[in-house]
Amino acid sequence: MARRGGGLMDLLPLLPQALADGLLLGGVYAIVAVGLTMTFGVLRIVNFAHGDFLAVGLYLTYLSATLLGLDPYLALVLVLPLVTLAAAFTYKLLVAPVIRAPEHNQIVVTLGLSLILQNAMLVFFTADLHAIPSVLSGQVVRLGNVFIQAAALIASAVSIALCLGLYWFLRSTELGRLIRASAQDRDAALMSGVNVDRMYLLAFCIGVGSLGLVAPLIAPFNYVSPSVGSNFTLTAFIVVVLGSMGNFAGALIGGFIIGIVEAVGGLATGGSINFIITYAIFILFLLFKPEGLLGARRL
Amino acid sequence: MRPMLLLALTIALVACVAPLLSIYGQHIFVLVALYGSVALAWNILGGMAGQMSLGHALFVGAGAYVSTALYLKLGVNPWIGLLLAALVGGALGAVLGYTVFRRKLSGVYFALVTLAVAEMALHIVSNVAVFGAANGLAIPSKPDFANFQFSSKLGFCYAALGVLALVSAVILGIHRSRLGYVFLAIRENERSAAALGIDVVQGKVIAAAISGSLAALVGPIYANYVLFIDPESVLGVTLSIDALLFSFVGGLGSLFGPLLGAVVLVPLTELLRSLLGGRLAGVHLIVYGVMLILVMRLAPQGLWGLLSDAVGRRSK
Repeated sequence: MARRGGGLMDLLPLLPQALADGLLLGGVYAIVAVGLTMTFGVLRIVNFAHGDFLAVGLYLTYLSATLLGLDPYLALVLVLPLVTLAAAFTYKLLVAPVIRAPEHNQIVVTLGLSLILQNAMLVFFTADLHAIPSVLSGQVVRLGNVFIQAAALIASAVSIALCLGLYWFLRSTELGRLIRASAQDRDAALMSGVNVDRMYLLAFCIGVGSLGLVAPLIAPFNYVSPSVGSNFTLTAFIVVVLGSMGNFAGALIGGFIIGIVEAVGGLATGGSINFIITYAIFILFLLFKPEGLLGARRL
Repeated sequence: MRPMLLLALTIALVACVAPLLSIYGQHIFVLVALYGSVALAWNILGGMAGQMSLGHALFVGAGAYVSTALYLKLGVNPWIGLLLAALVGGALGAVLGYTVFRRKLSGVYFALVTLAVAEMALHIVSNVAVFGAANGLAIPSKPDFANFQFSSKLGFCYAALGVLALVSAVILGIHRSRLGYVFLAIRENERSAAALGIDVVQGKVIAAAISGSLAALVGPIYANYVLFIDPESVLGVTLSIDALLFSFVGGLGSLFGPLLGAVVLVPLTELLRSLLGGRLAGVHLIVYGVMLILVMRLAPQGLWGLLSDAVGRRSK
């Protein structure tokens, strides 16, 4: 509200900066959404606890920093395996038993998991915001009038590379072919001798485990709090619906769109009004184009 | 008419118990009745008609904000506000239901739309001055029956019980009527229902409207009881999840399971809070999450199902 006096023209010089911020943010959104779309595309499970695994990763990074004195980039070697392991346990204990249950039950199980994870973090770490310092915190790259945090650049670049790498993996490797077979027709895959349960486990571990890679990378420029996960879950849903459920390219494009909308919207309006814009886009897409920008595709 | 008579007797009995409770007991009573009403209202759409909502806080919040803002800004009597709340809740439910169900979106899409609409409403209210923005609205304490504020907790016990009775009566009324069978047919198999000549979209929209209207009734009573509302407390996703959770734990398929869920879980929450004090704020929600998963895995019919199984076995 306070910015209204400035007029739109005054904001114009800030636009390149907002676009750059949006693109960087978009890369991170894209990989979080790709993880969600992977679990949905292969297992047909909507994981409401997806973002909470990112928060778990962030707290593991925080613990490595405070207890072991590790820089987030070094903590990666601990956080990635731990989050992937957590994903494997989650699949075995919670997801596999409801894989053929009605959709209601699946949603409720992942919602229950989200409640447990979020509040366990709240109990252990309180609601305080924590910053995780890194050697790269405060390092800034300057391009003309645009300032880019080095850590954000790395996080975004790695995220995009990971999206593309996962796409290549699914398309061009034997294992990827088996995963896609399980996604497309469970029974036919079973009859052809594919270990479908193993493929589901693998897809879930990749989809959720990728958050274990992202978390340490975004740690240097993000605050950690128990609720950070639910924000990411909702954003990931928005991105996934925008770019079509199960579609990797869609998730990448959707990530950039939402990143830019948030950054530019935040610039133009200030405060939490830009959330309203994001939700409005989401609702309009759900209602009028539920198949998303690129159309639903099985993996 | 026998079930209605039974309901009336039960409500009368519970009403007689309320004065015997301690002040703290009456506080729990009010909370159980209010949460129970929201859960029962949720269950009309989520359980009876099978359309799972993740945004029922939208209706409760709309009710609370309509009556409170009208009372504070224009001096509209809260009793009229209560009526308007029900109308607004019903209209919201109908519009939301119509826009979503007409497009044949159900399942997770409906859940996501309701979640997103409720979150958007929260952010809108947080930015609108008439609604007190993020600071919320405080209602000055003027205990008077005409003001819908009562000098004792007992008054609120009866107000909350009144809503609970109304919601229960509506559910019983629907259950044995044509509408009840329409809901059942839609829940069990939409295509067969349509093949039988049932207007599926209309049925779902009616369920959403009734559900929204009844949930919205809870808002003004909560607001006048606590004398303060803010976006997070009446529009937050926590409330939406509570409604779903009480219904699932209590028993989705049953008529009054959601109330049973509230009867068990609300006092449990308060107990955990008083045992742990201000520390460990999220413990009761961890317990909720665990219960949700356990119920889903071990007793999909919920506590109501377990209870009626036990009673059935005893009487054999």
